[in-house]
Amino acid sequence: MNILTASRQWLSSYFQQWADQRTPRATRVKLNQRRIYIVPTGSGFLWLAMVLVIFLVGVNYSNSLAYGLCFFMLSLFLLSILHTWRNLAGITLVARGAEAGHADEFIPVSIACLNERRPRYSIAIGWPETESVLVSFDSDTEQRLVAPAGSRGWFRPGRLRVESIYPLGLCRAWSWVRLDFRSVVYPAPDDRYPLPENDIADDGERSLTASGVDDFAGFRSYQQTDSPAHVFWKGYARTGELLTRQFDQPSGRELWFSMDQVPDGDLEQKLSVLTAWCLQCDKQQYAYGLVLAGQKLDPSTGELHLKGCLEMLALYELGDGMARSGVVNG
Amino acid sequence: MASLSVSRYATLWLLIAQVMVALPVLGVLPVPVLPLLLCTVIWRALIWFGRGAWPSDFIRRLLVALSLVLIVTSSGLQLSLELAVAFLVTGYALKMLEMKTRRDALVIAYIGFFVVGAGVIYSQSLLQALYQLLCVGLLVTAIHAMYAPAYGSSLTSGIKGSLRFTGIVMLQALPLTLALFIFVPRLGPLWAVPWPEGEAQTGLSDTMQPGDVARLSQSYELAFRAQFTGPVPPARERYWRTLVLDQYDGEQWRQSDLVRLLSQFPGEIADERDWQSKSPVIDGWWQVQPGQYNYEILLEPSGRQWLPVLGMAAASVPKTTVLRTLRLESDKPVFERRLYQPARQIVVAQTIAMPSWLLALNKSLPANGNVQSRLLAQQLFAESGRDPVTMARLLMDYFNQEPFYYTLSPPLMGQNGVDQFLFEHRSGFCEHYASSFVFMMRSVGIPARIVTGYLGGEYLPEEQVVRVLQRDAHAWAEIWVNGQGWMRFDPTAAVAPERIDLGIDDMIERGGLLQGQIPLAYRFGQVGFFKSVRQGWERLEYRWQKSVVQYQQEKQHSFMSQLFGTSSFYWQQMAVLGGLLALLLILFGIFALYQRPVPNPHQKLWLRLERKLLNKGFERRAGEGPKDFALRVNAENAAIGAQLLPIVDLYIQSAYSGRVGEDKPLPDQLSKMIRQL
Repeated sequence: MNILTASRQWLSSYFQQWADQRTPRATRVKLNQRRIYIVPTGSGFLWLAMVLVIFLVGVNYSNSLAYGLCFFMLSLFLLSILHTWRNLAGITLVARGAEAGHADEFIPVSIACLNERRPRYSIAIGWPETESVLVSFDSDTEQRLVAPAGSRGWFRPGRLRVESIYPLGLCRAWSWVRLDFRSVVYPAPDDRYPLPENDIADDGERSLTASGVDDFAGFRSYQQTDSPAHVFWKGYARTGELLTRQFDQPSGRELWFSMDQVPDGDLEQKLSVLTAWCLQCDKQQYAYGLVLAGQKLDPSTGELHLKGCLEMLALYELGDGMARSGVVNG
Repeated sequence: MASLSVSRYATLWLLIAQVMVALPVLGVLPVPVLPLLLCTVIWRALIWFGRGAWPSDFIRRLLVALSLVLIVTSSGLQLSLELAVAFLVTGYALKMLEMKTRRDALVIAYIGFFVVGAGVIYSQSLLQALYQLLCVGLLVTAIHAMYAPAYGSSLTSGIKGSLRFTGIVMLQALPLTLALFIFVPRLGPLWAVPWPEGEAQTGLSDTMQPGDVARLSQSYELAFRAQFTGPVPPARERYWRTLVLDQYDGEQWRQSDLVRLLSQFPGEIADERDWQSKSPVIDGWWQVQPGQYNYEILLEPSGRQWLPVLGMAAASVPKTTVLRTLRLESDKPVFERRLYQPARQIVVAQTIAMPSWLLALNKSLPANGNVQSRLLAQQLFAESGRDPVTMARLLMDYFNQEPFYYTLSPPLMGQNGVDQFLFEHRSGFCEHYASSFVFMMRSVGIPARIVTGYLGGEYLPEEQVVRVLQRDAHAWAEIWVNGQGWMRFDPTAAVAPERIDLGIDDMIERGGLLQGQIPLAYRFGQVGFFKSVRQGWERLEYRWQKSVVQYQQEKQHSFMSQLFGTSSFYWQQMAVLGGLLALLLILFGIFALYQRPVPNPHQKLWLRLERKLLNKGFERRAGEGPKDFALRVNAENAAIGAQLLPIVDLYIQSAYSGRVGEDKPLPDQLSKMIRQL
């Protein structure tokens, strides 16, 4: 039994490698004969067994209609191979975009299914780790799915399985598609360590907790990027004008994060801790900066800054953006 | 995976298919099961309409137990085809009541194919074939409906989609099926199977009332095959002697058997050795000489003991008995195909010994009835100078010259049937002629008897096989002539010689079966339209039976020999089959693989523009974009460029805005501008 499962695993992983070699990752993938695999389903084998039994009826009763029925069913089986295959063939999947997310989460993605002007029926699309959705479309559609994020770095979800047993359920045609979404997976946040507050006050200024966020400096008119937490809602209720509270952030009061501040752990764990700190600061509206080997982001706040920091953490030491293989396949 | 429930319209197809598929085999089910089946179907239909609840486990088990008990009590547990069909159909119906997942539905549809398979064992008529094709179509539709998208709640679009698919796929499957049907080599039966119970009734019967053989002539079932080595007798000589009817009670003709004879002729018959013999050498009854024809017969299951033999049976062969009436009988009823080789000897007719009791038996008639016929017989007998052979000839002439007709649908006859036939209706089938012939012969004291069997059969020269169908059944007469032995007379030959020469089917095909005076009810069926429809259908059915249903081993051999001009055809056949299959698959594959990319409206427009520019001598280089192309044209020819540049700008603007794959609106002026270019 063990040998059996082991050999099956070996076989399937060998097949996967072989399939991956044939079909490189791309943002736009067209399902063609190189990519579509097809085998009979369980009910397909049952169907063939039925064909055999009816053939035996034909033989033993010298019954021409039984022969006819048997040959008809066999023809249906052969045709269903082509019909099933044709249902998938020609579909183009385009990676439209992925939401940002952290490692080991599930990331909502958007995939365009171009049908090449033929209606497609009952096609199951999904990653093996998630639920697949059954879609039918007679014009180009966009499909929202959830993909496993994998590890930090460039978002390269594993093989997306596109399969169909339409129209008769006798054959299963499927294709493995590796889509490149050109987006980034941030490291998973790790809350093990609190913010390194004491390390900041090196120039004798008050500590972070003392300064707080309440260091109110005045109002300015609201801009779209401002956090709702900083909107002066009371004033809005009175005057109908949106104002944003501004806080005094004298220089030297920023938080600087770097690897050295994380007490222990390997690179990935450290990155996770840093990620958690960035998120925490963003939530509490602290200004923070990030220093990694050779890279630096000056302290700031806001969504764009957070994104910059997280991307820096995500791609840290992955080398060039084109060096992809180490991320997903590793 | 997606939900594996069964959509409403898939269930609808399954329900319809179930009822249709089960109809042809309802006749063989035990009667008590039928109401149960009806209930389950109604119950399931109610659930479909949303008016019923699913049965609980307990009720389902109860139903299964009940149907098992009903089937077993009414048909017993003996393994038979009927029992298998009963279980299949009942299971088919009950399974509907627990059909909740797609898997259940699939099982039901697959059982449906088996029920169709069982249905074709019972009948292979053209009508049945068309009906079963319809059933198969419904089953395919139901399976498609299970896998097709549910289309929200729209029942009609789902139904249409499934029907459309079924139509397409069945048309595609037809050529494949045909190729397989023609070329897949037919095998002989691999093992014995239980035959349908009704089968025994389709053959000849050992009692004969006028009308029996006519009924048989409607049946296209194969009766037997005869494989000849050496010469083959011509069709008119192929009298397959099977039964000898020498007992007549005024209405019915039947065969003699030992028990009856012992009571009829006490003292004259000592024991069975006077009546039947299992010895391969017959001593004292007749003498034999080597025969001309060497053949063996493969008899289809008949459920009867008698075995057809070409001419008179001279001696018994293993597991058979030869009877004093010169016929051969199997020791056991034939329930499976039976191969036997009749003795290669023929009886020397002059040497047949006739004990007095046998002569008496063949002269016996009821004391009264059919007065007119007796009078006519005496008249002819006097005319013939009391010579049996001349008398027989006169009678044949009488049938030939008086307005007698040969018909497959003879009118019913009651008391004094012979009189009615001879002087009133004057249309009948072979058994009418044979029985009135024998009656008249006996009435003047000439020993005579009816022989039934088959006449003719289709000869396949390549295989040296004669195929005899039930419809070749025939009846003729034998009279005893002192010094000559039993002589065969076929009164039908006097009325319808083509029956003897051509066989029954050619008669039907030529439409020359019946002319002149016939009863009203019969004539109604002959009126213009009805007649042509009936005859057309009969012809069609005949062709169907001959070319499709009877397409078995020898037919295939013979067809292949015609095709390849050789009899060692097996490998050619396989090669052709493989080639054809490959060809068809390649064709279908090309149809599937060859996907001409359908250009979208923008691409079409651009291609039109390129063609137009090519005519003007500008060809776009590979890898040259629209804009670069337009600029190059502009540089070479400013007049065209001035027109072209705005077009290309507009094209780029409208084709490359928005997102990939979206259907983008096409500006009206763009195509106008291209046209004006």
